[in-house]
Order: sequence, then C-alpha cells, then structure tokens
Amino acid sequence: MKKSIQISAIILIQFFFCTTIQAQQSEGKKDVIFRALQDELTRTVTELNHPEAGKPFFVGFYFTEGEYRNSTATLGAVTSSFSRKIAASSFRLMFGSYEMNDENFQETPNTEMVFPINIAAPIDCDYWGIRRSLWNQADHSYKSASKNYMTKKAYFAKNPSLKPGFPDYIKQEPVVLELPEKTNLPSLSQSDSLTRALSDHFKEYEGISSSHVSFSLLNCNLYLFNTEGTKFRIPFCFAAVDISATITNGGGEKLSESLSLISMEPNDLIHDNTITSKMNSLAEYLIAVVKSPKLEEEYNGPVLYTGNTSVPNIMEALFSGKDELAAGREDVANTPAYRKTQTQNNNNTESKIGKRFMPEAFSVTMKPRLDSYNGIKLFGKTDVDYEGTIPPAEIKLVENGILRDLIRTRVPSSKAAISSNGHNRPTITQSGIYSRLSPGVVFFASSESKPSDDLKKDLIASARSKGLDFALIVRPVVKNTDQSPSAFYMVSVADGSETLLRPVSITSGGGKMINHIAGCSNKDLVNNSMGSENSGVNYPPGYITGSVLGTPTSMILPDVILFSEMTAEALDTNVDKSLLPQNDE
Amino acid sequence: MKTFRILLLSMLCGVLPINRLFSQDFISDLLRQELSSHYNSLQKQSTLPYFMGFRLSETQTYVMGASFGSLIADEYNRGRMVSCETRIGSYEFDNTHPLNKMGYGLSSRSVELLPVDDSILPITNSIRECADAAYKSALEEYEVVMQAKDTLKIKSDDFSKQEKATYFEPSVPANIPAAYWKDYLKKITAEFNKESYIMEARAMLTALSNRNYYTNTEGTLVVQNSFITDLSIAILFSCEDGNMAPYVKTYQVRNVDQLPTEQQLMDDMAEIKILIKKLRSAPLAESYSGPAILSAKASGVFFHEIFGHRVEGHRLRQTTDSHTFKNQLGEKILPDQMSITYDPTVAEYKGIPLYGHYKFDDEGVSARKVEVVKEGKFIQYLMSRQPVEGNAVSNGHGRGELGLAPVSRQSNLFVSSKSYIPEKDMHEKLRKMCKKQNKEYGYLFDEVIGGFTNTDRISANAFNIIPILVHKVYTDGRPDELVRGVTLIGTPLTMFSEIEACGGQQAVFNGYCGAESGSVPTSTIAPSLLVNKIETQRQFEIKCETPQICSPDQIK
Repeated sequence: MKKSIQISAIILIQFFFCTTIQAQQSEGKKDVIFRALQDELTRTVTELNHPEAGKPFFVGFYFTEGEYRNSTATLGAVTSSFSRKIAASSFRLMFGSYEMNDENFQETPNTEMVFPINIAAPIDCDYWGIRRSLWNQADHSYKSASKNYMTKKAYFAKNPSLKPGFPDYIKQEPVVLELPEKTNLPSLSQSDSLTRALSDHFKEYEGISSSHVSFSLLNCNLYLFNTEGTKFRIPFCFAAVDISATITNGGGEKLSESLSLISMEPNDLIHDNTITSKMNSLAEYLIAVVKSPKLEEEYNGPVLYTGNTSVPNIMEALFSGKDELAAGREDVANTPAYRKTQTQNNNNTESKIGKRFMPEAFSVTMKPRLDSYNGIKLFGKTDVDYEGTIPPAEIKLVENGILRDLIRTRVPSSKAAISSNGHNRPTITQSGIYSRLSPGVVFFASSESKPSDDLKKDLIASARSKGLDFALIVRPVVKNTDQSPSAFYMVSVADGSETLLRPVSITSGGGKMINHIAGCSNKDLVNNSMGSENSGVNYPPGYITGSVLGTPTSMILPDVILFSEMTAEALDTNVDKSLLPQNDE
Repeated sequence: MKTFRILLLSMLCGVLPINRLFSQDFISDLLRQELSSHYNSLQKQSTLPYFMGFRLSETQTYVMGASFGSLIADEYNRGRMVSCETRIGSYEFDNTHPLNKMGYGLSSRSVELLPVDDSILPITNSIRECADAAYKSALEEYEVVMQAKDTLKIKSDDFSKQEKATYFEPSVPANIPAAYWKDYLKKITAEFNKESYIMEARAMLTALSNRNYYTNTEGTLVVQNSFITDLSIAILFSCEDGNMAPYVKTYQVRNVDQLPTEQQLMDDMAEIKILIKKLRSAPLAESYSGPAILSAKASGVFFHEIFGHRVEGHRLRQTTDSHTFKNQLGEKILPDQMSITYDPTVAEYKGIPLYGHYKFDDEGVSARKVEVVKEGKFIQYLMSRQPVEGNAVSNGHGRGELGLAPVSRQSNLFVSSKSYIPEKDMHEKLRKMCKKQNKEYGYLFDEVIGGFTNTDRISANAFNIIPILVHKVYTDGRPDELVRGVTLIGTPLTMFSEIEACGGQQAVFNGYCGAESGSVPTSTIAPSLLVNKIETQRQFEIKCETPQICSPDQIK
C-alpha cells in the first residue's frame, strides 16, 4: 500500500480543465472574444512557418463561453445547488492545401516523452487569456500537424497509387453570422425553488421509496474565426428537468425510472405547469408496474411501438453501424495494425448510393434549417455548422428506398460527393462545444401508412399467424414528452386486452432494423433529443451533467411503428429488502 | 477528485452547557434520534447489531484560481453527507473481521448524500436509507466471516470498547474569501507572463469548512468544526536543457484573513522568479550515496514516510505488512537523543496552523498526545479502535474519510532531540562527514513537495521523497551549488541508523496523507537532520515542447 503526504499545490495540476465567463456587457464581451480570436489567428498564420511544411493553409479558432447551473432536490429539499462558468478554446490547424493536407492519414504514434501543458481558458473572457489559451493549443499541434503532413507527403510520393483522387478538405465561401445570445434566464434560486416544489410532489406517493428532481441550465455561446473569413457566434441554450423515482414492493424488489423534459426556452420549463401531471404519470406507472407480471419466457414476434418509443430504434438504424447514412472518410493507413482495424470498421454506405438501401416505402430526408414543425421548435436546426457551412434547406438521403446521399462535412469521402451539406454539428460536452458528423433534423416517412388502430389489428394478426398467444406494445409512460421511459404491454391475441408488464429489453431479431418495419401510422410525431452524450456516465459533482449534454437532434417520424420480428426478454430487477421503518413509522 | 475546502472565523468553542448547545443543533438532535430509532427497530431482527455509529459532515468549499493573470476558477459548493457503521457479533469477533492476509475486513460503511436544506423529512429519509444499507451489508458480511471463522488467522479482537464522550462546538459561519482575492490571484500569476520559459503559472485559493458530527450507540456524541485554507502557487518551467521542472509554494492557514498581504505575496513572487531562473540553469544531479542534510521541512516528510507509516498500529493485523517495529516495544530504534510524539491536540506551532489537529478522532475518541519514541526507544503504536496483539485500546488516532473505515493514521508528528547542532554548524559538520567518507560533496535537501512509501512485504520496503530545491555542499568549501532532478530514496531501518544529529531549527510541513482510509490532513514538526548516508536516484525526465512562436503575453 502506498501512502503519500503531499502539499496541496500538487492538486493544482489537476485543475487544468477549469472553465467560464465573467458577465461583461454582452456586446463588449462579444467584441473582446472576436478580437482575441482574430488577433491570435493573424499572428498564428503569419508567424508559424515550418521550414519544410511551410505555413498552415487553414486555421480556425473556436471559443466557448457561458454558464452551467444545476439544482437537485429530493422530497422538497435541495441536495445540491451550484452555478459554474464555463470557458473552453479549441482550434483546427492544417498544413498543405485543400487538395492534400495533414489530416485523413494515420501515422505511427509519437513516442517522445513530451508533456503538453494545457493553459486553461479564462472564465472572465479576458482578451489576453483567450489568446493565450488559443496560442497554447495551436502551438502544441503545430509540431505534430507539420510532421504528419511531411510523412503523408513522403508516403504518397512512394505510393502514388494509394493517393485518393479527391481533396482532403473542401474550400468554402466565408460566412458571417452572429445570432443573439439568450438573456433573462432563470436564476439559481428560481431553479432551487422549482426542484424543491417538484420533488416535494413525490411525498404524495407513499410507495415511492426514493426520488430526485434536478434542473440543469446550460447557456453558452460558440465563437469561430477562421482563415477563410468565416466568423460566427452561435448560442446554445438548453434547460432540462430530470426526474427519477424508485419504488420498492413488499418483496424488496426495486424499480426505478426517470423522465427528462428538455427545452430551448428555460423560462418555459420553469413555468411549465404540466410537469406535476407528468410526475403523476411516472409515479402511477411505477405503482402499477411493480405489481405487474414479468415476461416469463423470451418473446419472438411482432412489437408495436407508439409515441417516441421507436425513436432509438430508428435513429440507430439510420445513423450508426456500417450502414449509417453518414459519409465517413477513411484515413490512409500508414501502419499494418491500423490497416487491419480500419478494414474492420469501414463504413460502406457510400458505395450503395443509387442502389436499393431499404424497403421501397421508406424515405429519409434532412431539413437542417427547419426551425419548427407543427408548432414545435426543433433542437436539430442548424443555421451554420461547426465548420461554417450553411446547410441546404433539404437533402434527400433515401428516396423510396433508394440511397441518394449521406450527411457530410467538409472532409469528402469519395470522388462523387465533394461538398459538405453542413452536418459537422456542434456537440455539447463536459469540457466545451466540439463537433461530430451527426444528423440535425431528420424526417423518416413511409408511403404505406395507415391509421394507428389498424396497426394494432395488424400486430394481433401477425402474432396470431405466428402461433403466438400474445404480442407486445411499447408505449411512452408519459405522453407528449420527448424523453419518457417506455411501458411494455402484453396484448392478448384472443381479445386484444392489454396487460402491463415489468420492464423488458427488446432487440431486433437479426438483420437491419429497418427491414423489420411492417407498418407505419399516418400521423407524425416530433421528437427532440440530445443524442447519447450523457448516457450511462457518472460525473463528479460540479461537472456539467443531466440531459443538456449531447448533440441536439430532431426527428419527425410516424407516431406508431410496427416491427415484424423482434426479441424481448424480461429485465432483472434489483431485490433489496428494507429492514428499517418507513417515513410514516 | 474531491475538493472540499473551508474557512473559519474562530476555532473557539462556546462555554454553554453541553445539553443546551446540542439542543440548538438540529442535525445532532436528528442523528441521535435516528440512531436510537434504528437501533431499537433492529431489536426485532434475529441478528442484532452490537454497535452502530453515524458520521455526518457538512462542507463548504470555495475555490478560486488564476493562470497567467486570467481567472480560471471561481466556484462555491456546499454539501452534507452521512455515513453509517454497523457491527454485528461482538467486540471480540464481528462482521469486520479480516478475511485475508492483507488484514482488511469487509466494509460495513454506507454513505448517503443529504439535502443541504434544513428539512427534516428528506434528511431523515436519507439517514434511514444509509442505516438500512449499512445493516444489510453488515448482515451479509457477518454470514461470510462466520462461515470462515475457523480458518481465520487473526486472533485479535475486532473492536475496542470505549468510554462515551460528549463534545460540542457551536457552528461557526464559513468565511468566504473576499472578491479581491480574485484580483490578487490574477496579479500574482501575471508576474510570470513575460518569461517565455514559464509554461504554467497557476494560483489556487481553496477555503474548506467542515462541521463534523459523530454519534454511536455507546453514547458518544461529538460535534466539531475544522477549517483549512490554502493558497498554492504552482509554476511549471522549462530548464535550459529542455526538461520541465515544477516549483510550488503554498500558504496554509485556517482563515483566509491569515494569508499574506498582497505586498508580501508580490515580494514572494519576485523571490520565486529569481529562484526559477537559478533552477533553469542548475545541472541535473547524478545518483549519489553519501552524507546529507535534510532541512526541517524535508526531515518532516522523511519522518512521516519512513517512520510514521510504520507505527500505524492496524498494520500489525496485516500479515503482508513488513511489521518493521514488531517485537521492538521498549527497544532502541532511533538515536538516544531523539523522541517522537503525535499530538493532535496542538492547533498551531509558532503561529502556523497544524493540519493534523483535531479534538476527537473519526471514531469519536478524544485526541491525545501519544509518545511513540522516547529517547530512542519505541514505546507504542498509534491506535484506532481496531485492536492489535498486545494493544487493545485506541489512543485517538482512528482517522479516515467519511465512508471509509477509520484506521490508525498520523496526526501532528513532533520530532525532538535532547541535543541540537546549531543550524550554522550543520554545513561544516556535513563537510567533515564528506571528507571522512572521501566524498567530493554532500547534499542539502532544502524544499520538498511530498513523498511516498511502501510498508508491505510484496514490494521493496522503501520510501521516496521528492525535493524541489537541492544543493550540493562541497567538501572543499566551494559555494553550495543548486541542482535538480533528484529524488531521495532509501529503506527505513538503514536510514534510522544513519541519523547523525538534529539541527536547532524546527519547521512545519502540512499536507494530506493518502492511505487505505482515504486522505487525511497531517502535519510534521521536525528539526533539520544530518544523515551519515543517504541515497538518491535521478528523476524521470519530461521534455518541454519548445513553442514555435512566443506567448501573446510577450508581445503586449
């Protein structure tokens, strides 16, 4: 066992990721940030000059500033309440040219023992602090980028046949865009009051053994200045109420569920008087489900998804795995080990353009600039993406089952498609706003839709034809909520009656999920989400947590979808026999 | 990483009657009430606990930080946590009984986050959940140890009996650092903006306030406050040979008002700049074996590592531990003139607050002075309530982070000597020793940032002390030469036998000690040491990246 006595200054080294902004006058702050970005950019492109690689041909400096607030309460009392300013800088720097640069190339890792110091971005938005953090990052990357460029150049000189016949990066006209930042937001004391009041509501439910309510608010601005002349400020403002509750039955079995309400209008969320009724739905579901039967055997058959419950399936089917509708560029592999890994992970969708990709009934269309749909504001709206690309109003990805296009960034993935469609989208992370190739506003539609009631009949008929006694329906526990847990019902083939089940896990029975779709309703549903950035990760107190992390995404899809062949099995529940007196004793 | 820090207005306790004071503190009332309620409710169970205890901690933390003149942190947090300990069986044999050679039993601690609002129902609920979880764990653990009972090797009792204790300090509001400290931190760190070789200049001010509650079924109820404020300035710089090196300066006080003035800090920064310039060009030291002086601070860390961890009594239960001093009670283990005591009751030394100070330990046992070595002879171990062979009673050194089982840990370590060499003569003595050993030079270890040690039998039973300021002292009388890149290493018994003399000046080293029961604040108060033979090894070298263009600060 090692023991140590160390002066606390050593701990300082751990503080490299501290972040945030001092509230200067809004316009003053913006001007300071842009001036710092521009001045350091000018100095970088003027003074950074590698003897062989030359000057970087592209530099983009980013700065994120804002504030994160979180208040958490249980049974009417606040357990944690804090406000934290955030600040982060990042950059993109490339040597070479648009045709060939240092990116999209995997070389042997650098084994030199060098310890780069990360100078933290200033939380008070001071001009020199911003420049210092940008300089620090760009200067560190200069060495590796120039080295990579020279290695890549030499590699292609030796292996000219391996050189891709399309550029590494696409040139773009400059964009100047300054969107207004969000002001007049709820205070921390308002969010404390909200969580106190909401969490107090669970006192009405004796069966709920533990519960928490938290309110998170992230309000920040992303600034970019690059050598193409693009300059933008994009605000990101998301608030979330996360509600979780646990019920314990007489046998000590514990069941927990959580519900998230996310909004781009924090004040609306603070004053949303439907939240308590949604909490009632959650509590009533838990009270019912804890008494409900378990699915006794593995189920293989049709499943009807209603409301938002099908969203994860559809998103996964469209935007993950080897068949995702995204144009990923393959790096040129300089090492055998990397070549092997790359072969295993290659995305092969590009080669299917113009071919049948899914059943003829389905179409997938992106409308990245759409602000709202059916009166609902869309999280996925993109005025300009992280690379400064203004996306087109509409992109048809799949038309009547034929693959037409993919979501793209400025890094082309083939000779055929050498333009970005603005999907290098900002992602809100623990340490700032970065980006990833991801969808914004997705329309998934079927030309063979029918009324929802007919789909239930189809479900029963399908189950009957397979010789099953029952089929499964998945419904949102809380209606009109984007992030609701799912409730699972067993539907009798004999009389159509429904019985609530304990939670089950459902997976596709093999093959592409889309191919299992047997029917869609003729009514649309809008679902806003923040992707999966925060799922399953426990962060220490003080960090950005809750449902405000991720990539803002919207999906418009049929509100009921029937899947023909799925596999379901009961989830294990946690049995924990309480031995001590309850509140009322 | 937890960064609970605090502030204090006063450490003075009130003089109101204890009962009256307790009744004014709703948390202590609630804890006592819940303890009694849970203990009584468990009487219905077939397997009863013989002991239950709650620890509850209320913390307030304020962290401010600046780097190169820019504000990078400004955060305030408060929290309240409870931990429950439940023991089933008897003092002689219970659910915590060690199951393996490491000497560790199963943990019966559970932890719950409590509301910071003073709201009875949710706090009560969380306390009950915590107690419920602790009992269930203890029950499971008890079944396990009972099944293995006949095969278990450790025969010592598992828990010592203890008289009940009652102590109450009134609540003291936390003293939040004033806003002007943000400007101070910016000014301090901006002092390093112009030097291109400074890679990071960071100042962090952390004020931590704790109000700690402890109660158990033996009738003990202790409520005490603790306050620690530290200001740390950490500089990373590139040396002329391209290596990176750190320099750290810390100011440790209880109250932020006790920190140096802005002018004092600026003067200190000026000194640090001069020192860093010297360090940059200082040569890397070679591996060495020979005489050395350990400054008072370095000597404190030395004793903490090579001695202190070996007198933590609970290690005797670990058959994998080296048991450095086992069977040496009453035997000479240090030079005759030296004595070592641990005294957590001392709050400060010559005006410097001692981090290892407390009134009651984390098991509710009153702190007391413990004479461990008297005139070179080993007298006793530091003890928690975990008995070891031949020693069944706690001496108030059961310590640990909330949620971890307290074990015997160090507090304020005082090293004293009946005879001292005046500081001014230490150099000359060192030179004489070098000459005798035919060495060109000896070492002076001036400032250290910490160290670590192993006490087990599996790996080398050695220690490391990491200095940041080291001088070569030449035998021929040449001026001392600053060197860098060297670590002091060694094994304990050899080192004890090599202690030649103590210097006349004592110094305080405050720090956080990490071991199996978590991180606890400790202090050492020790004289400088003259050692006949030490050994050094070269430090791991980290190269700096040379900036391609200068920092923007240098073009202002």
